Order: sequence, then C-alpha cells, then structure tokens
Amino acid sequence: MRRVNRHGGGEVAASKRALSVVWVLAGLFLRLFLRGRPRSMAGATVSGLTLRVVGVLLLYLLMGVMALSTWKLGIFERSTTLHAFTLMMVGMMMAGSSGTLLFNAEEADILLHRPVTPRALLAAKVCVMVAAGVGLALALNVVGLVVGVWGPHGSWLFVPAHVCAMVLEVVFAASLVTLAYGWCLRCFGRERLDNFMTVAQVVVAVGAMAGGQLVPRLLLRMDGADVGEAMRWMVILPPAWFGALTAVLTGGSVSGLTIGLAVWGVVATGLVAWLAVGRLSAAYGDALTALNEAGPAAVGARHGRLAERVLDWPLVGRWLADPVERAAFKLTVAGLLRARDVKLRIYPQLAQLCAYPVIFLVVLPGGNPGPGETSGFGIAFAGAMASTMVFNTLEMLRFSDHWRGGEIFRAAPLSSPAPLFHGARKAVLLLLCGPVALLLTGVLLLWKGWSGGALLLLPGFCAMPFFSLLPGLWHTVVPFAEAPEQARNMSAGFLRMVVVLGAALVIAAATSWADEQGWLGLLLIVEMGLVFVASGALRLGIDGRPWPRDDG
Amino acid sequence: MMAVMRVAKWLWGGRLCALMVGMIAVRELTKCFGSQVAVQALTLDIAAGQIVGLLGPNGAGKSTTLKMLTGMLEPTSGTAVIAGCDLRSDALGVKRLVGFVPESGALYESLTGMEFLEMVAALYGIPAAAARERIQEFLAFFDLGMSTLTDKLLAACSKGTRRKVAIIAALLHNPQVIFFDEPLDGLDASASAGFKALIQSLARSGRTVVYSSHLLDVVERVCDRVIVIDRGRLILDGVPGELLAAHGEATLERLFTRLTGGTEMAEKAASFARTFAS
Repeated sequence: MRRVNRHGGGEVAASKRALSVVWVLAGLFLRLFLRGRPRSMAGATVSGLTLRVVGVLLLYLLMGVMALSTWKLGIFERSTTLHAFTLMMVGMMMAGSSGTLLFNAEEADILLHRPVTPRALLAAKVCVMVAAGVGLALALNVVGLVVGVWGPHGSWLFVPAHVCAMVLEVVFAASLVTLAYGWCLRCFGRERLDNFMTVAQVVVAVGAMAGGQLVPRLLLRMDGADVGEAMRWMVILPPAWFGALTAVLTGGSVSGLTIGLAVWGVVATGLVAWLAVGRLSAAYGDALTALNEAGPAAVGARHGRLAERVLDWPLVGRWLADPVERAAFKLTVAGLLRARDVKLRIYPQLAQLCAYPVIFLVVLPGGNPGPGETSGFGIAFAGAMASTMVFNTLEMLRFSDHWRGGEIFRAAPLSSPAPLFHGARKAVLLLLCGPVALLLTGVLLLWKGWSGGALLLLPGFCAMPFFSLLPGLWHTVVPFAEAPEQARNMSAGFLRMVVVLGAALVIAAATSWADEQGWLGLLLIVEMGLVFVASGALRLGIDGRPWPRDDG
Repeated sequence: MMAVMRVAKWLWGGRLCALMVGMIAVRELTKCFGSQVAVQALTLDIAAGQIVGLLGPNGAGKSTTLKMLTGMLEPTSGTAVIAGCDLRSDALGVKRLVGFVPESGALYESLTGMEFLEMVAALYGIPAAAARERIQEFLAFFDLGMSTLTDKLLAACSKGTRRKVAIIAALLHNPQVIFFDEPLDGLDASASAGFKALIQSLARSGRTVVYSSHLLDVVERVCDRVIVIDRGRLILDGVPGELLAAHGEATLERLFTRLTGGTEMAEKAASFARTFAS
C-alpha cells in the first residue's frame, strides 16, 4: 500500500515536472516564433518586436473587414463564413510556418540531450501555434464580432460564443497540421521525411484555402429548400462545425443538425489533438534527431541528372548559354528539389496560388457566377494568377536557412548579380510556371475548347516574362542568399504581392471585357508590345546594376 | 557487470553505485540507420573521475555514440547504464545526470545568452535565483561580462562566446557525466587553457568526462584514457602512455594515423601538390 502511494506521489511529481517543462518550452518557442532568427551578426539586438506584432495584427484586422459582407446573414451562416475565412488564413499561416517551427534542424543538438520528452516538445510547439493562431484569429474577427453583436439577429452572446468556437477551431487547425506531419513520419519514416513533409504542408494549405473559399460559396447558394442538401456537405467541412457551435452557444439557429455539427466539431478537435500530440509524438524525437543526419545519396543524384538533362535540350542550352546563368539554374533546381527549408517555404504557398486558378475555374464558369462575374473573367484571372507564380516564387527563392552559402557569390569575380537572377528566373519559368501553364491550358482545352476557354488564358500567360523580371526591380535577387527571417519582417514584400495581385485582376478584367467586345486579338497584340517594352526596360536596369555595397 | 550495477543501485542508490562500480557501463551498443551500421556492438566501462578521449576518423561513429549515451538517439540494440540509470528504461533520468556540448554548438540565436541559460536552468528545475548565481560564477571563470549575455542576441556574439555559453549550458545543472564533442572549436588560446584546466578539476571532483576531438595532442595531454573507434567498432582502448609504448609510436597522432589507415596521406598530399603546381 505504501509502495502504491509512493508511486502515486511519484507520478504526480513527474506530471508536474513534465507540465513545467512544457510551460518553459512554450515560452521559449513563443519568443522564438515572434522574434525570428536575426539575419546577421552585426546589430542583432532585442527590438522592433512590438511594432512587428502590431503591424501583423493590424493587417489581419483590415482583412477582417470582409466580415461586413455577412451583415445580412443569419447567425449560423455568418459564423460559418467567419470560421471559413479564419480557418483559411490561420491554416495558411500554420502551413507556412509550422515546418520551421516543428522541424528546426539544430533543435536536437540544443534540447534533446536535456530532460525533455518529444511529447513535451511537441505539446509546447502546438501550444505556440495555438497562441499565435488565436492572436491572429482574434484580429481577423474583430469586425465579425461587431457585426455579430450589432448586425441583424445580433446578440451580445455572439462574442463569447464565437471566441470559444474560434479557439477550438485554431486548436483543430494546429493539431491537424501536426497530425499531418506525425502521420507522414509514422507511415514513411525519416528517409522520405523531406518529401512527405512538403506534401503534408501542401495538402493542409490547399485544404485550408479550398475550405475557406468553398464554404461561403456553398452558403451563398443555400436558400430555403437546399438547406438539407447543403448541410449534408457541411458535415465534412470544419468551418460548418464551428459555425454551428457558435450558433448553438448563442442560442440562435438551434436544430438537431446544428447541435450534431457542433458536437462533432468538439469531438473531432479532441480526437485530432489527442492523435497529434498523444499518439504520434514518439516518432517526433527520432525525426528531429534525423534531420541532421545525411539523407539518401541516390535522391540527390537523381535530381542532379534532371537539371543536366533539361540543360541538354538544344533550345534551353541556347537560352542558358551564359555559364553563370547555367550555374544559378542548377543551384535553383537543386534548391527546389532538395532543400527541405526551401521546399517547405515555397510549395505550400505555390499550392495556394495554384488552388486559386482551380477554384476560379471550377466555381465561376459553372453556370452560376456571382454578380458582376463572368466565366471569362474567372478563366482570365486563373491565367493571370498562374503567371504571377513566377514573381512570388522568385521572391521566396531569395531566402534559405543556408543563406551564408550565398557569400560565395560575393567572393566570385562577378561584376553584377544579374546572371544569378536570370538563372534562377529561367529555372522557375521552365520547371514550375511552364508546366502549370501547360496544365491549365490542357484542362481548358479539354473542357471548353480554344475559343470558349484556353484562349482567355493567353493574356495572363503573356505577362509572365514581365512578372519574372519584376522582383529584380526592387532588390538584388540572388537565390538562397538571404536569411528566411527577413521574409517575415517585410511588410513591403506583402505590399508588392498586393500590387502584383492587382495587376493580375486588371489583366483579367481587361481580357474579360475585350472578349465580350470581340477585341481579344487586339488586346493580345497590345499587351505583347507593352510586355516587350517593359521587360526590355527592366532587363536593362537589372543587368546594369552592380552589387549593392552593403548587403548586411 | 550489469547485474552487479543494478544490485548496487538498489542497495546504495545511483551515485554511490556508480562510484563503486563505474559511471558508464556500455554493453553491445549498436546503432543502425537502415542497412548502415553506425556503431557496432560497443562495449566499455568508464569509472567515475576519468577523462576519456573518444577518437576516430570522420564517420567512425563517435557522434552517434555520444548521441546514444546522452539519450538523443535510441540504440538499435545493446544497453548502457549511466550513473546507475538505464538508458533504455530511464532515458529522462540519464538526461538529468549528463551534460553535453555537441559539435555543432547549436544555440537559439535569437535569444540573449542569459535568456538561453535561464531557459536551460528551468528545464533542469533549477530555481531562477540559484541559476543566476551559478551563471555569475561561470561568467567570472570564462571572463565574460554580464552585459555580453544580456544586451546582445547570441547571433551577435563571437563564436568563442557562443561556445562558452554552450559549455556553461552543459555544466549548469552540475552533471555527473559530461560529454564534449569538439569543445575547443572557436575558443581562443587562453579560454582553451582555462577549459582544459576546468575539465581536469571536474574529473578530480568525481565527474566523468568523455572528450571527443580530432586534436590528438590535446587529448594526449588531458585524457587519462583513450578510446579509438573506426567504422563503428572499438579498435583501441587504454592509457595514452601505455598504448604508445606498446605500439612503439612517439605520439598519439602517429599511432592514430597508423591504426586508421591514414599513413599514405603524406604521400597523397605530396602527389597532389605536384599536380596542383603543374
């Protein structure tokens, strides 16, 4: 009996110790998450954090203005729309940043020889993801909460109910991301970890985005008699679960179905969290240690051959005649295929960009376009979005965990970084954007034929050379030569992406209008002329620019 | 031996048992990565208060051995008992008793040195006030100003300072066994001398030190015993002076080169230099 008590006491003490370790680690990871790693040795001090956090929260608050569009909706529809938007934004944030948070290659050397279990490590990281997610979700939902209180069917109860459901939704998102990684680790092992980590992140990012886009559209189509049918679909869409939870807690739209959805939301969140942190954490420690071990050599060799093979194509060989451009091309291909951090940063975001055209293709031309939208606009926007991929990819390609390796370019006898930029640009055009453009064209050709569909993609694709040169207008683009934390610090980068998105919208609107007027051919000729002149001017500026004096 | 240790632990507790029987007892420790055997059936005993040099060419399995003994990697087979704690059944217990300075010297660079050390202290359950006091003592020993640790992020510190912080983080909880993997990397001459004196003092106070390095002259001067691993297997184990006498070599470097098949390197270098010149 005495022994039992002693054991019981020991277990309590061990649990307390484990909780205190989780607490310490959560504090650490939150600090690291907010602070990021400093870029250079010089001038690294503790400052600017508050400003950055406030800036991000303000940005999310502004994006939350979309909640005004839910003014006329009922409680369930409104909260589901808000949850869909929240899940999309928070899910994309988590998909984008969880890779570096969960799989820091140096972490094993820092922490795993200390009294820390993989489960504590994982739990602390999930806590940080939840904390960051809740912060962003709150900022995103401020306007939604105002609408929920003062809008039609408004109630003060909406605030606590929606916040509760939102916290649960963030826990669900964080657990789902972690579960995706844990499942990949368990099923595929460390040898194929890199590839599957990227796949898992892509799936989560696309899922979050598709859910965020599709649920509000389902709700807009749901009127009267269609409710039952639409509800059946909503059983598999998480925003509907949390929307139902808000509705039930508020006391509005209470029905058997909403109660069922709400209960399922709570159960599913608990289940996913338990699976992610409880069941699959064992493989996490091994994976963390394995990150520093050498990967299978055969993979590198295969990817190496791919770059060589592409360069052997006669036209490509002539296009990449400059040896420095060829070297940058090979480096970019290697980074895109092999570098874990680069893949985790680029592919989830690219997947979201790819998902936009698909959603526009699937939803807009499908016989029920929204007010002011035509099927032509959807297709043209898909083409323009696909062509902006080159801009976004090149912006992201500047960053790498191994950015110090970029110092070799400064040491090499190169008068300008331009050939490095062009090599990277051509790799992205040839291996990422080209195939995506071909795929979209193929889908449209099969689906709608030339005149009804594929032709409308061309104005977007025509702008691709211009978009590919655009990053060089703003800064020196050398592949993998800047610390990834720089990307997180740049609000200017976000503004640039907004400008490019605006350009894509303009192209799509012009294409749609020209198509309706029967002037598509003329538009193409004018656009090609403009792109030729603008690209030439950009190229002249980029090629003549020397290395900046101080790159940090 | 393992049974004796378990009985001793049951009778007298971990620390006393380790003092009587041996601080580290490794039996048939093996680690495989897929089909590749990194460490093969390693068996050795290390007594309390010993400084043991762990040597081997690149890829010999030194770091894997250290990672297994510090609980970072789970062995494929075999056992190890450290200060009375079984690595397989009580890895967390082992981790509380050991300190480790990894070769990478990795730290969270966006923390200040003080933030990092306080975080480490909290992981071992050291109260904040006691941790600060202990950190002050280490700072005085390493001639580091407090402002270096509080005003700058670790990214902004010199390599030597970061290495010192990694060493302090390994010793902060007063471990019984300390594993060093290339600890002198980045330290200047004076700090290196201080560090060597420190590990000798630690050993005199009963701590066991396992020191992995490629600096063979340092190992020869500092260590009581040398273990050489090659291709995952233990190929040499003994007191440096005795080993040199037994193999008829003047220095540990020459003996190591001979044992690990590196004798032809001088010839290779000469041949390569000729090619380079032409």
